[in-house]
Order: sequence, then C-alpha cells, then structure tokens
Amino acid sequence: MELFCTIDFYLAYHKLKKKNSYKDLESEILNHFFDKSVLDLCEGTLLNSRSEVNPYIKKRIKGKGGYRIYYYLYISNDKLYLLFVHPKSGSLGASNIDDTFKAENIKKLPVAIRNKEIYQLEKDKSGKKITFIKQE
Amino acid sequence: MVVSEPNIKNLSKSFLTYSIPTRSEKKKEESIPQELLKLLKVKVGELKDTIEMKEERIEKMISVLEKITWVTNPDAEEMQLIEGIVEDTKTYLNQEMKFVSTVKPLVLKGFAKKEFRSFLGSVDDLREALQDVQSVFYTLPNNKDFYESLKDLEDL
Repeated sequence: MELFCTIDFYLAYHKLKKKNSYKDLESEILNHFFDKSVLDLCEGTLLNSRSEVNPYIKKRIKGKGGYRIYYYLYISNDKLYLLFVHPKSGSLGASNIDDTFKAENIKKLPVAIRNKEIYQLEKDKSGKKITFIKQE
Repeated sequence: MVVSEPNIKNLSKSFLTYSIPTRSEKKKEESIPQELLKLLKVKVGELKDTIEMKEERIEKMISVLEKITWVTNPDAEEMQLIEGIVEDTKTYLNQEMKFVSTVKPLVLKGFAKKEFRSFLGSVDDLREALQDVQSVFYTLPNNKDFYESLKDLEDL
C-alpha cells in the first residue's frame, strides 16, 4: 500500500516534530502505517459507517496522551491518505476535533488529489526516517 | 517568704512519672501512629488498585465503542442497541465524575497522584470515544457535504 498525505497533515506533522515532547511521532507512524495489510489498517473508529467501500478512519495511537491520526484508505487503488494528526496531551494537545473539522479534512482530499497537492511518504535507507516527496 | 519553697526532690520525682511513660503507655503511644500509617498505606494501595482496575475497564469500553463504528448502515434494531450503549456510556461517565470529586481531595494531599492523573486521561479518552460514536451515527450522517465528498472520492 502506497502512503500519501495532504498538506494539512504535512504541516501538522512538521509542527509537532519540532517539539521534543512529540519526537516519537515519526516512529509511531513508521510502526503503524508502513508495511501493513488492509486488515491491520482497518482498525480504530470508522467515521463513514454509512458509506460505500473505502473507510475514513480515526486511529488512536499510544492510547491516552498519545496521538490521533485521521486517514482515508483508498482500498481499490491500494493507497492510504493521511489527513490530519493531533496529540492528546502537551502544549499542542487537543481533546478531540469537532465534526466540522472531521468533515473538512475529507472534503479537501478529492481537491488535493486532483491538484496534486499531495506528498508521498517513504522510508529512507535506514528505515527509521520518513521522507516526504511532493507529487508532480 | 510567704510562699513555701517547693521541694525539688518531690518535683523531680513527680516529673519523672510524666516524662518517662510506663512500658505499656510507651508501646501504645508508638503503635497507634504506626498502625495508622500501615492502614493508610494499605488503603492508598487499594485506591491505586481501584483506579487501575477502572482504567482497564475504560480501555475495554473504548475498544467496544471503536468496534461499533464498524457496524455499517445499521437498521432500526441495531440503532436501538447503539443508542443503549451511548446512554450507558453517559451514565458511566457521570458515575466516574462523582468518583473523581470524591478522590480529588486525597490527591491534593499527595495520595495516588500519578494514578489519578492517568485515570483522568482515561476518562477523557472514553468521553472522546463517545463523542466519536455520536458523530458517526447521529451527526455526520446528516452532514451532506461530508458524504458528498466521500462520494466524490469513490468516483475519482
């Protein structure tokens, strides 16, 4: 499964990465999203339970005080789009995001895909770092 | 002298009866705070165990709440069951808030501080999971834009 992210995710990720208290975010993403089966990725809260095939998921990472990651699993195209991330605790922590924002995240995705405002995520040679490649 | 002079020998003797308690008095005086501390330690331990048990229970509840969101296009009967789970979670959260109020004064005195902080995180996560279930089954289905965007994605 190929991994992509929106600009919103890219910005949120890099903002968090600057803070020492969120330095484990990169390894958490590597552990939870790379080299995983569809079954592994279909875990968490399904936000579009009245929809068709492809799930829009909120994943709880590291439980309380951890991270919440929102993603869209484009099963038919074998692609996963990371849409947003927020921590639960710390100076940039938030308890939850509201419905408007949950909807806003998914609303931006078709536009971003069409306009190629998307980054592809790959592991670097060491396998311990994520490289973001802007789509042309 | 108008006042008779005190007899220091007698005073010294009587003072000793106060300053040197008997063996049984001494034993009792020492044992009470020790027993109290022992009891306090046991009870604080029990409080910590209770908090940990509650956290485990909450984790299981969160797991169930996440799983029910995978019930796609629920019918009326399934919706009724989901409604029951939502109401039970609300009741449970209210009970836990009462527990929080009861325990808070003890935490402010320094007891089970770490466990209590962790417990508050669990309660917050349960509240979050409840909000998500409500979003999934009650509010997002009425959000036209949300489902239109998903339809748009399916058609890409």
